[in-house]
Amino acid sequence: MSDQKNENRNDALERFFQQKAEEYNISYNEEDWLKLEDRLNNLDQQRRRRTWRRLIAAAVVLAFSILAYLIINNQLQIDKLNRRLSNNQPTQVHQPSTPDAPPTESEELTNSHSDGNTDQEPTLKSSENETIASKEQKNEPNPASANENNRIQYKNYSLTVKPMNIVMATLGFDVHSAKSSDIKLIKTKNSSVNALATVSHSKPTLVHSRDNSTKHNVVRASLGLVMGPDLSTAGSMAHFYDPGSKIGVTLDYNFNSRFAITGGIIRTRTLYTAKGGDYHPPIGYFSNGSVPGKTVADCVLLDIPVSLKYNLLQFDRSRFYTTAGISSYIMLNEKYSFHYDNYQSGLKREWNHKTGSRYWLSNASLSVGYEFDILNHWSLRAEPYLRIPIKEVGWGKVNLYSMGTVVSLNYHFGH
Amino acid sequence: MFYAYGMSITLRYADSRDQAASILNDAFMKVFTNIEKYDMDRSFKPWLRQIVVNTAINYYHRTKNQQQMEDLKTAGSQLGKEDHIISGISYDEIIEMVQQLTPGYRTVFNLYVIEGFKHREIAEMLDISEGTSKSNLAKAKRNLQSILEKNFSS
Repeated sequence: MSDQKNENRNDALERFFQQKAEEYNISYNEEDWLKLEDRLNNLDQQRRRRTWRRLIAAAVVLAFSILAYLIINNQLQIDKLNRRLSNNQPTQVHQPSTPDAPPTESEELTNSHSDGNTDQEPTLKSSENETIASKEQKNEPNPASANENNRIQYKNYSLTVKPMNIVMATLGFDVHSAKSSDIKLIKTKNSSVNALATVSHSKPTLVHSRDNSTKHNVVRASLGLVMGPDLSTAGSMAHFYDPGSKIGVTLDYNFNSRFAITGGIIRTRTLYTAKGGDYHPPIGYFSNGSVPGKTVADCVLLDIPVSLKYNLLQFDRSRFYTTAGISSYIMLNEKYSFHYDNYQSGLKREWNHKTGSRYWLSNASLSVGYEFDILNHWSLRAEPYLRIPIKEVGWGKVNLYSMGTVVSLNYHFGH
Repeated sequence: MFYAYGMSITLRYADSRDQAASILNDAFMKVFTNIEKYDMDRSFKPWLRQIVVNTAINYYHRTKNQQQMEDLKTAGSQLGKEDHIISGISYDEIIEMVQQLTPGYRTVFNLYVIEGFKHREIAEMLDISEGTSKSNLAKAKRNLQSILEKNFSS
């Protein structure tokens, strides 16, 4: 401050303003505090959103880590199984003596496992079946060929069943009981040489897994209880607010082991913010042209999705799938709070009604999921989803984006 | 209490009351979000004052590209009747006078006369030369004298 004197600060004008600057008597303004309060609330929400985003990211990383572990573990078990099969091969399987003979059944079985495709069963060799078919085409039916057919059928039966016994024994299954059912299956399919040749080309199914033997072929429908968080935003994928929630039921109908149609009804509480330009209430609602800078929505709606489901990857007890479809929204309750950049008394601050308005086919729906069988009839699913607006919804006519992850417990019918 | 104190500072740096409230709003946000950095052994008011002044300077930097640094051409003579003028002018009128200055003059005037910074410090804070700081101060004082004489000398 000694320097200040050197700079000759104390002229009359400076003294005058220094003195007056200390004589302030400023009254408190409530609006200033309300603005500050809004900003503090927004800051708090941003922090909560950041925390949620981190939690979701952590959950996704954890989920993928678990999936990776399961997949690697599954692969290791398959490799172990293959090694056991290779060790058992010399004593269990008859080796063809011709030099250009096709691979053995054990090799085929190994290849089938290595592909990780449990839908595909150990197949009969196509060259052998082609031989059978050509024989059948060239030779008219006669008593001699009947014996040949039986021999061929027996040969195929024995070649097919022996490695299966090894597989099932390795897995700890009851070989004798499994054998009898397998024999029935083969006998049914190979009732004639023609049938054998035809079925062989189309890779007849011979089950080697208890799960596949039942679920993939028999399950027709699944009923699920779903729940999870919902993050929504209006106008763009940029302004998420607090997470809402989803809870409801879904029903799947399987066309085959890959395709299914799925529908449901899900009660959803959605929380989002909309900027002034993204929110469109009825014209003239906001008086004096004072449009809120931000609208905070707290809505309860019924989400009715209808989707096509496709199994991308199939494992013994789990599968990855994807869905694509369309959702309809029925608004049960809509509550909107309006926040103004410059609030003046008399401006509307809230709108809250039980509307019941319906918006059919309003949002496209995309998801990927992972399903894990926990019991014979039961499975768990984790399904991250995205809803993209097709048309505006709600009293404020907003383009509503939603994302989240639903977890579901499913019961499978048709075993 | 702190509201009035904060406003007494921001009003001097702002063009209007709304702008002053906005700067104070920013300053209080900084106070709330950095409250853990406050040293409880020291007085709160200087800490608040430092934040408010810094916020006002930040505001000056944000808006200086939009400012038209036009000089009022009403440079008057030296203030000769200040003694009897002082007693008749209210705080609000003083603030109005300061707010009539261009942002560049006003900020230098406040930092030098009211806050007590040196020209070298002001030059660093506002990213201007020391000479510009001195020049702005001189022009600010001339303009204020002119405004005073124009409005209160009768």
